[in-house]
Amino acid sequence: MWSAKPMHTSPSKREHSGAQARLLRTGKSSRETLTALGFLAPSLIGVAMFVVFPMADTIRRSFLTVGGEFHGFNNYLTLLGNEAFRQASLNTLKFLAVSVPLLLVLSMGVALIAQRAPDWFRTGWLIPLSLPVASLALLWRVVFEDAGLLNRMMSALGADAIPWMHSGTAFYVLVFSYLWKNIGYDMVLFLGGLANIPLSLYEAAQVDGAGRIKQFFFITLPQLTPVFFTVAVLSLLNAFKVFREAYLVAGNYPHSSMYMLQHLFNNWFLHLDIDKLCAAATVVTLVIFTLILLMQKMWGSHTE
Amino acid sequence: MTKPRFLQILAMLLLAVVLLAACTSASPGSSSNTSLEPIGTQSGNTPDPQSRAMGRYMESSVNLPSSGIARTKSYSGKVYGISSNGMTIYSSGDLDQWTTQETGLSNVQDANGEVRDFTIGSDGTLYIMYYTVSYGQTQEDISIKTHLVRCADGAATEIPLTFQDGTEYVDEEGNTYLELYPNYLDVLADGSFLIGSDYDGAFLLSADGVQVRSLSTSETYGYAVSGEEIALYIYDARLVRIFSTTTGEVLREIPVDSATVPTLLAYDSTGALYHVTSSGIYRAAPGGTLWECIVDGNLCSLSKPSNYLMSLLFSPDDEPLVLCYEADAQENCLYRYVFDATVPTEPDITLNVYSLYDSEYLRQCAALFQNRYPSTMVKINVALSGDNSITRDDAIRTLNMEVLGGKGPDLILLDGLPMQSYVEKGVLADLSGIVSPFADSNALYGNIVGTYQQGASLPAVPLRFNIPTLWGDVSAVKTLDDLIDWIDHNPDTMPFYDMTPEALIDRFYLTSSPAWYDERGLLKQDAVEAFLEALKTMHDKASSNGNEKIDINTNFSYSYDGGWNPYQGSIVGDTGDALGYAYGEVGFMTAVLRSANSMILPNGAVDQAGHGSFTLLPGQAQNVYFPSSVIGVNAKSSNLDLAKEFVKLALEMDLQKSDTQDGLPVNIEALTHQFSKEDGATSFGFSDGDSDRSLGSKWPDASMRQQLSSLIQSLKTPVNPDVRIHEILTEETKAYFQGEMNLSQAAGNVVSKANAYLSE
Repeated sequence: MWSAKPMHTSPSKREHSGAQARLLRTGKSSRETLTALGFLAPSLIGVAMFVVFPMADTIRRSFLTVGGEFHGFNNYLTLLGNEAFRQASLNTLKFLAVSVPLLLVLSMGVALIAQRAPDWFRTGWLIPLSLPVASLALLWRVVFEDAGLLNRMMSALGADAIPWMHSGTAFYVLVFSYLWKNIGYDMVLFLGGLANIPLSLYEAAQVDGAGRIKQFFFITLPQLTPVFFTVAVLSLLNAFKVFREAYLVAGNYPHSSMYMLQHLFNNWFLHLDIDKLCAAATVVTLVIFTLILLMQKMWGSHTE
Repeated sequence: MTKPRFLQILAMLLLAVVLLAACTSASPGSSSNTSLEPIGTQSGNTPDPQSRAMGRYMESSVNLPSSGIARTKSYSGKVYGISSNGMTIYSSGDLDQWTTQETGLSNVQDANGEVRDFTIGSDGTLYIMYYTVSYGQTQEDISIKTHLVRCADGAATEIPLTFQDGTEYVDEEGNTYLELYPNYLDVLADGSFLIGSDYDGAFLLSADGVQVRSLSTSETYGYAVSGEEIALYIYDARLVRIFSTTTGEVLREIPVDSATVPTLLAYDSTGALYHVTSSGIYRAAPGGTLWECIVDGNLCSLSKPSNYLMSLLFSPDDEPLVLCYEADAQENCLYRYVFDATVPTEPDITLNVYSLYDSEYLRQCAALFQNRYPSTMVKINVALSGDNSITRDDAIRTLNMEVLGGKGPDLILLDGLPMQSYVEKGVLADLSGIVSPFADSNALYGNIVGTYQQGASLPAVPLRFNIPTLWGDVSAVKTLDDLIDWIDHNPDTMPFYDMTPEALIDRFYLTSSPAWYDERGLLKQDAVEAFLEALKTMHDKASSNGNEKIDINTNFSYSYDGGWNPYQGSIVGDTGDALGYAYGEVGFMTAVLRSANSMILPNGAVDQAGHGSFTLLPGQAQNVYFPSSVIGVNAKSSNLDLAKEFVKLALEMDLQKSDTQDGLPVNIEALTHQFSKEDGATSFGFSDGDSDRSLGSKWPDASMRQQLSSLIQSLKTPVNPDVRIHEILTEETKAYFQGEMNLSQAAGNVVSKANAYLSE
């Protein structure tokens, strides 16, 4: 704060002082930049080593054969003609289209209830987050196997058993698994967003005669838009992690309705199809990146 | 320099050190033994003798005076051997010149007996223990007796054996059996005897054959006597227990690694105790309680699966000697281990061989290769050894990472691995140069070894092959439809013992699946439909014919999750088929011929039934064979020439003649050799406890061997079993076989799921 006080000096002196101040500021600025870089370096190096360089190598390999010869766009063309890739992509997109909006809606609903609910209600939704994936997989097996808990209950009630994991229902089992696991996490994010909405807005709306529904649509939802973007991106990324459960429950080749891109990638690696694997990884990265950009366009502008 | 700046620089330096340390590759010496990366030196680089440990026991063979030696022992600087019939004892002081002497015992083989063991007393007296078998009115009326004789002055005097609990019992039908089957004999300094019986324990008997004391009454597998000590390996406790010869009290105990069962123990002249297993020879110093491995079994013949360890003894110079029965040569071999201080302790080169499953043949190859190349160690890495909990996919993933990283094994046994991918991706080196000399001399079955030929290149070579066969009255059965016709014409007899859908899929998958693929490598729906329809017809007809003696079960009784492994065990055919055929309850038997021995059971059933023959198992494909022990060389191997030499050796007669029960040899002479045992060295029988039915085995006669030879020449369709397709087929057709789904729908489900997998 050394220059905060106005100085009554001649112009030449003022110019001289200004130059000196700029010099001092520049010196301070470069020191700050160096310090910041020092702190950022471990992270930057880590990201470069484990994300940027491998990604760049993946893109490079997507234009090569497994033997290392240049293959142009042939790997990408092979992908387009690959039935397994088409099926896995469609399944994955279907899963994203069904589960992510469902998760957003349900977790926001739960967050709205949790605002006024006792603590145990919130804690209950967070329990699935603390369970290891392997335990969950075991649980799903016990529940959804042909001779599992659910079918036994249905038999006891006189209903026919359903092959949950060996029919089209496997997809919905996966969606359920994803929702059950992630609602708690998204609820916490929404609760954070809800806590940031000034109460005065609701009070003013009440004075103006707005009911609960109008308050929700005209205050809560618009105010939650920045949080929506964050939650949607995280939910999208978490949706790709659901493969772990699917793999542990049903192995490399689950029912065709829950055969995801990650299954395909996994199987390609087993068959050393690194060329196709790299091309597909590049395509998927582009799609996810585009989706995130779209979401940013939809909701991200409201954050500014 | 100011303090903050100094701290900043220090922090930056620390950060740099941490990051660089994390990026530094491990030092060569830190490589794990379990890694696929070759350990020790590479590419034949000879290490500096100054910088490494030197000295190793080297193996050599000792010429035995006779091939009929049953046991060998060493006493007072001499090595002794006794003939199986007990009539002759051989002795040598230098292992070069042998002296032959008659024992005075009459030929025990005349009494259907055999020498079990012998010993030499401190006064030079020879004692022999043998058993005799006598039959009553029938073959089943049998009496077995153990004898101990003292041989002196050309005469044998029997010492009656008296055990506290008796040695014999008589069953309800009056047959006499031994309570004990002694197989070890030694004489102590005071003239008393130590007699060991593997399953029953070890006993001290007085000089006149009366039991004085029991040293062990549980399973005891190793015995040794030296001065005041008796050493026994107590199986239940997994330790060697040392007893006092005078008081019988326990002097000390030496724990043994539970993975090794030391069936052979011996003391050298200094009182050091040794034991030998296929993993090596171990030594415990006099009075000591720790084992030191002095000979690595993996570097010598001890690890050869065809070697059965029979005796551990010592040369006059106290060098370990091991008597082995070599099953391939059907003769005993005596190996001598002499310490050579000029040889590096560890071989210079390590040849890494990867296999998903354990392979007897691979181990046999490794042992012989090391014998031929002493400076090379063959390290076999079995991914699914049973000692770990990794899955097949985990194992393949790890292998792929190693291969991609350029650090893969030198040789890969491709059974169960994605072979086609490795071939297409150029992972495997061309082996045509190795196979050509064999092919030029017509030493190999060209139709089998050329299975994976791709133009001029041969990236993989099957070392073994298997043939799915059908046994019975097969002259009119050439196709699956013929089998259905047979069921129509024989409503009272079942075609096979087990007609469950999964058993039928197992039986005919190998001979039908090659016909299911189109030119793009995808499944053809009509072919799958034809297969399922044939099996369903067979299944339904057999079920409706209903024979109470055969278990007809339409339910899938057990899960197939990862359970079907065509590379191990029997794929189809079982004792139920053979027994059923012998007693006229089933029309046919199926068997996958994996060795000469796999013919003896169905042949025994044919012989007992009095009719029948064998042919290739019908299916949708014709002349089908199943290549196994398929080997490839990693194109990026740093020991490429040596790895190819390994493949060459594995194709040679010396190794191919080994009957390791994991496939027929691709070497023509070796196959002839395997079938040349006129007496059928392996024979056994079994009985069905419930109905008192029994069945014996029979060695294939000359005409059968000739027929097999012709069939092999006709083989032209290889089947590479796909566990995943088999699994889909089993899973997706349950409802069809249970009548809850129509044929088109079931085949459609199979094709849809399988093609998604195949199109990956």
